[in-house]
Amino acid sequence: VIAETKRRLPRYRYRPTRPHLFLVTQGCWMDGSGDEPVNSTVSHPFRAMRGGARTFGCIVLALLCVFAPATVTADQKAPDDDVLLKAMVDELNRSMAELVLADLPRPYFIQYRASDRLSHTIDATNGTLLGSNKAHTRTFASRVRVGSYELDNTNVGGSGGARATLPLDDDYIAIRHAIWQATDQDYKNAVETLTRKQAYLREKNIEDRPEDFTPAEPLLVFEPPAKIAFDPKQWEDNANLLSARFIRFPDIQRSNLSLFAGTVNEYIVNSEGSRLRMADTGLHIEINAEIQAQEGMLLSDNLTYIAERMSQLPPVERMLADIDEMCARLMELSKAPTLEHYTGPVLFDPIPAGKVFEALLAEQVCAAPTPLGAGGSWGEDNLEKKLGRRILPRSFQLYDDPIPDLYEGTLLAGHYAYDDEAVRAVRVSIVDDGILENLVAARAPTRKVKQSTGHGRSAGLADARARIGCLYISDTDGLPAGELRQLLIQTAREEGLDFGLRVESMWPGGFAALGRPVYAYKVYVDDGREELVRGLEFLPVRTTILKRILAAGRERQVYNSLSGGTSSIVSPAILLEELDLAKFEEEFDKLPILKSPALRPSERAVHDN
Amino acid sequence: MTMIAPLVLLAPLFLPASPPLRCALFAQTMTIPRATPSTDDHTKPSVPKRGETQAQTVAPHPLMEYLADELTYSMERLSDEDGTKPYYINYTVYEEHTAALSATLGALVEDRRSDERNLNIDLRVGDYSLDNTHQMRGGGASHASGSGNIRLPLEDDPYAIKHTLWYHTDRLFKQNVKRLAQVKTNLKVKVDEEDKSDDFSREESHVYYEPPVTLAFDRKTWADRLRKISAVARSYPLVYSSSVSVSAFAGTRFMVTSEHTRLQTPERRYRMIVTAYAKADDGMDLSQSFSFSAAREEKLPGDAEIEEAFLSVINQVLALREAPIAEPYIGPAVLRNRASAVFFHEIFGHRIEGHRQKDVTEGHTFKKKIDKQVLPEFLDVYDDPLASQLGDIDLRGQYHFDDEGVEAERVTLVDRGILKGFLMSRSPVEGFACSNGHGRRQPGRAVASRQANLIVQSTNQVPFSELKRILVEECQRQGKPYGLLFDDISGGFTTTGRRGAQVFKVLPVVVYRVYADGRPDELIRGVDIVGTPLTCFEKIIRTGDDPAVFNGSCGSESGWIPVSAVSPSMLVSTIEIEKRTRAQSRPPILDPPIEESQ
Repeated sequence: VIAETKRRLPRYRYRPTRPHLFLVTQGCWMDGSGDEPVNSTVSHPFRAMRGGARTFGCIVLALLCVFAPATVTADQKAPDDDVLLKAMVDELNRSMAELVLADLPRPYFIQYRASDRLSHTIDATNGTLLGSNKAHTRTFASRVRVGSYELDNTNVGGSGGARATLPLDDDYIAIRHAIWQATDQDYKNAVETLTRKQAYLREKNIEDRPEDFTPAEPLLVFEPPAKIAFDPKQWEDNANLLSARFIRFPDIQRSNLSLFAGTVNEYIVNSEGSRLRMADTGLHIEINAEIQAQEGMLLSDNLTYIAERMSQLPPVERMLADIDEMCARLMELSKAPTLEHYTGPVLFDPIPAGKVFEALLAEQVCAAPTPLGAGGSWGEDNLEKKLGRRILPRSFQLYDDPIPDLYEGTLLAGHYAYDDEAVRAVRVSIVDDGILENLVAARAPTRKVKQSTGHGRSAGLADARARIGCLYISDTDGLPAGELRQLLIQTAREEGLDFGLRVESMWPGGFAALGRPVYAYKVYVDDGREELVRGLEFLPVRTTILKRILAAGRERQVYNSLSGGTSSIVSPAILLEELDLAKFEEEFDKLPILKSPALRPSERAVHDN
Repeated sequence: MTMIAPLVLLAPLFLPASPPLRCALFAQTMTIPRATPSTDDHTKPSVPKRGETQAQTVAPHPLMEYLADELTYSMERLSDEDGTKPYYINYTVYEEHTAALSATLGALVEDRRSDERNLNIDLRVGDYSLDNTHQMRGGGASHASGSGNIRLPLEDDPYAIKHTLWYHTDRLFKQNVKRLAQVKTNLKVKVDEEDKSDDFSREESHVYYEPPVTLAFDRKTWADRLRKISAVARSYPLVYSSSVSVSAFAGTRFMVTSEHTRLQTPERRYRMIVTAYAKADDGMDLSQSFSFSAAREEKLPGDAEIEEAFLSVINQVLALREAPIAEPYIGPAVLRNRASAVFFHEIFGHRIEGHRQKDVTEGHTFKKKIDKQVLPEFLDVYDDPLASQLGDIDLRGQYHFDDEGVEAERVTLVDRGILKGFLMSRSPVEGFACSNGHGRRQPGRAVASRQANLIVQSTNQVPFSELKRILVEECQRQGKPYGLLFDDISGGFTTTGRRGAQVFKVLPVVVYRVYADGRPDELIRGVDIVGTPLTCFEKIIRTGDDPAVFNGSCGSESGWIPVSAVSPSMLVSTIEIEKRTRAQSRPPILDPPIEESQ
């Protein structure tokens, strides 16, 4: 089964289910016939590179692990009924052959991407629909490179390629017309940018500038069009049913449900001969709830369900039970005491531990060239300069492997087979026995990383850059959960504290910042009892604290991140020696003056009917 | 600035950072059919009686009851510790059904449908003379922000609807109590205000119901029509982009206020737009569009007429490619009717919006000019939201009640050249204590006084051919080799703020040189009219007898709203044009794919 579902989902950080996010495929939309297993074959012709004998970069990373077994089968032969693909290829060939302005360089590389998306979004609150909308979009991006792999118009400010909206009909001429205009604009910008960049390089003394781009083997991959068995009517009813559950909880001041279901056919063609059509599907349900504590503090929580096929979603009854549990816990949280300050050991359960790694490592283990003129502070937290040095405890292993789609039966939202630069994804061993060995990479080399690992990814059709896919973290000395908790207590005791802190869930943090805990517990040293606390946030931390992980658990869980590009982190629980937390300072409104309709007898009567 | 999409081009013209606002008007142009089989005088707008076509006995929609219940509950019980209560609440729900389709070169490129209900809450604390909406001087947030659009369920579920009303009303109240305190402090620390008018006028309340509307839109038939018509452009390789689009809107506004106003008013708007874009060999972007507006789908033109309009914009941009570039010029000119209408909307209309006379960041061009001569005495100007048609053409700015629930009035702005009034919302200004039904907004924005149907009339009219003859005479008198004829204007913008220069710019797309020596008229390209408002009005010499409608959308601080402007052609003794800054990128290098692959 294919479908790198969530890979597409995360495009928009906070509202991943807005319309025109995700979208369509050709035909076969919501046919109600169930999820069909899709067969396809991968073929990998390794044709001779255009331009011939280029040596690949100097350091080919040693530990690029095995090619993952092909989970995908695709047809090597381009389908002859795909008008969009044909229009892209024909215009690409014409542009490579003929697009040139007198005395200016020709393109040496062109890549086109197109995204044909069909989506349905449903929003509901308190048992009634706010909206239910279908959308079909086709977007396109062109990337013309002039100069050479060694020096071209990229890796410098203002070099973004060109975008277009393509016709929704399979009209060969109209599609080519749109591609033609975008390519023309892109080429003109490209030659201007290259001239500007060359002038800059003549003026500045830049040492050890990496090359701008690396060649890649051509790929031919044609997956069958994406399908998803989504019945809008049924899900409108489900959305009503699920969102109506909150009426039972009058203390919840605000709640909503948003659902997104979509399919996408993603096209990549380039002048190296790669031709890809990748199919993907996604289902995403998010249910939010908000409550106010007595003194006004706003507290919220959410439930997120992500799937690629309907069958991966839990039954609605289970979701209802989840809502009940979420509401009950939020009400408990709203009555919990606050804590002004805490400094001491913190135990993160597996999912929040995944968020810690996301904040402190996800960006930092990606090789990113410094754009010309970006100055010295660029990528300061990037770990490239620490290659060969220890960044985690010696018992820790860390690798990224985008290929498998499940971890112990749980969907990995970050999985994919080919990246957005037409490179096959490979497993990369990043940390071995605590030592940073490799970074994941895209096709733009850096000083130390010269070869793509198939991690060139982008949100939407923006330029790809290195991003993690599915990051696996493990500790060879991992402890059973009970022992880890005991270690927390022991550490707190040694510090002379009455309690340690356990974080059960937290909001995702920003770059290099930990999020606010949603549910955090004091774990008392004397009898091991737990007590809920609220209102804490983490003070700033640095990547170096990861060396001070005291221990980790044995069991691992999947955290699927939808922030800025889908990724998954498979992580054990971790115990950090010392972190600072403080009560967040925010001005909250007082409790509502008016009674909610849920608490007015007359409205209840109306509703109970 | 490129001209690829003339209809949306300048949308974000008002910059959030600088309070002096500008307006942009964009273009739906339309000629008046010369032979209108009507016994009425088609140069005068027709005004139907309110409810003429609808029985007045319509029952209110259930939504009205839910809004009223919650409003009553909130008015009775909302009160903070020191007893501050709201003195006014307005719940308005905009139920909007829209469909939009667009095709290019025979293929569909846009296909949208949306159905939504948005709640806007206007909640005021303080009293009519001073409330939380009062402008604060100095510092940020000088203007109060409203509730914005709050999504409301599409279904008439009382619990879910009331829950949403409750949640937002409570929060808005607290926010506004806080702002009122800030307003009071601001008043104490600043010098006395120039204009001590109240913040909110007292108005009559109204109860009026019409049946809600839904949108029946046959998207398949429309899609096929657009595909067929847009395919015509395939034969014109020099037209780099083109489109044929249709949009349909059916909406119902439900309004309930604590002053006992109850309004349930429907509105329908349809529009078709054809556009073409080309580039001159020197890189100048050339675009042209034409649109049809109507209040009913049946009144949109048939395929033949749309195709003709499409071919006409295509031929216009192709003719513009060959046309010489305009040179900076000062001299006499004729503004053709629709062009003149845009001119008045921008240069005059925006400066007689009432709230601008009070806002301390505004230029106050006309504030002290009441009962003074501002235009030649042969001109009258009024704004009439009640006018629904001119000849057979529907006016887009038509309505009976504005967005503050005030009954629309025809307002005399200029009587024989003398300034008589302003367009008023419920924000009074010195000498004008009441609204005249011009408080308008795009859902989600705060109401401001705006134009509806701005109508310019003249008593010094001659036929258009005569007007052109006088133009030639005027050239000869001034010793100019040629005068200018502005045949079409795509839109324009104006700056009314105090900080920016008090200037305007309209963007003419079809301009001819009319030679004094009798040579044929010559099309030129790349013209921008520039000027300062007060001086240009003095220079109107005479007008045509050919009033025409410009149906457009006007964007300003209270958002985009539908408007019309009506004017006859106008001869001005002096107008100043400048060269348009032109795009520097060359025409496409390769030929369009159209030619080769067939």
